[in-house]
Amino acid sequence: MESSDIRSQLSTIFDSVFHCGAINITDDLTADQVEKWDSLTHLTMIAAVESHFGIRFKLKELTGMKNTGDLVRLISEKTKAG
Amino acid sequence: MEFITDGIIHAEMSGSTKLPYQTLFGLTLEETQTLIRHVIEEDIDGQEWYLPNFSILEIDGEPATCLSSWIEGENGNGSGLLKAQVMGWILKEKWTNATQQLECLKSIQLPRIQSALQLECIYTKKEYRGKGLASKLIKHCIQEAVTSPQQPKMAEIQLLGNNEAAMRSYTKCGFLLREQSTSSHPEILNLLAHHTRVSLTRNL
Repeated sequence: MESSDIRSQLSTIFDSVFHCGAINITDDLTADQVEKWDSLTHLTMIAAVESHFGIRFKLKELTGMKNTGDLVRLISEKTKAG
Repeated sequence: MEFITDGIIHAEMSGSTKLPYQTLFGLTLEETQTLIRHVIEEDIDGQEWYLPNFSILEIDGEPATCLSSWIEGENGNGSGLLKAQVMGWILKEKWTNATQQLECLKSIQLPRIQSALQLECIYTKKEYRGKGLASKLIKHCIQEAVTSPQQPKMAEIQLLGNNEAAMRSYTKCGFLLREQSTSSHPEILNLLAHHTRVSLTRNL
C-alpha cells in the first residue's frame, strides 16, 4: 500500500478517535499537536489502526514509535508482509 | 525485583489501603504484583518502572529504600504514554473495560515537565523509617543526574496530596509546590486515595 493511501486512511481514523477533523498526516505529527491525543485515546487509535489494516503491532514497535511517520512506515511494512 | 514490586505497590497506595491498579482493573493483589513484574520485565526504557531507573539503598545488605528516576521524554515519548502502552498491551480487554475509570483518572492528571529529572516510587521499609534514608537517596539521584550527560535543569516529583511522608522527604531536599490538580469527578475517591495530585519541583 502506498504511503499516501495509508495517510489518507489514517486521517479518517484520527478524526474518528481524536475528533480533530480531517488533518494532514505529516511524518513529524505527534500527540502534542493533537488536542485529544493522550495516553488513553492513543491506545484506542492503535486498536482502530490494527483493526482497519488487519495487522498487529508488537509492544516494542508501539513503544518505539516517535511520530506518525513511524506509524505509517510500520503499517506499510506490515501490510506488504501480509 | 521483589523489593521494587513492593516499593511500587506501597508508593501507589500513597499511605492508604487503596491500590489504583486493583480499583481500576478489578485485579487482586497477586494479579497486581504479576502485572507490575510483567511491566518491569518488558524492559521499556523511558517509563517509570524501567528496572535500570531504580536506585536502592541497602542497610546491612538488606534493601531499605527505593526510588525511580528518569529524564522525561528523553527517548521521544512521554513516560505516561509508554506506561499506558505497556499496560494496555498486557491487560488487553481489562484495559478496554476500564475506559470509564481511566477517563476519570484524566481529571486529576498533570503533564510532566519535558526534559526534567523525574522522581517516583519512593518507598522505605517500615523498620528503616525515620533515619533520613529517603532524603539521602533523593540527593544521590539528583547528584547522579546533574553530573550525567543530559544535565537536567529541573527535578519534578508528582504525588497524591495525602502523601505527607513523601512530601516531607522531598521538601527536606528543597522541592517546592509548583502546581496541583484537584478532581471533582464523583468517582475519583473510589479509585485513588486522594482527589488532589501535586507537582513539586526543584531547580538543579
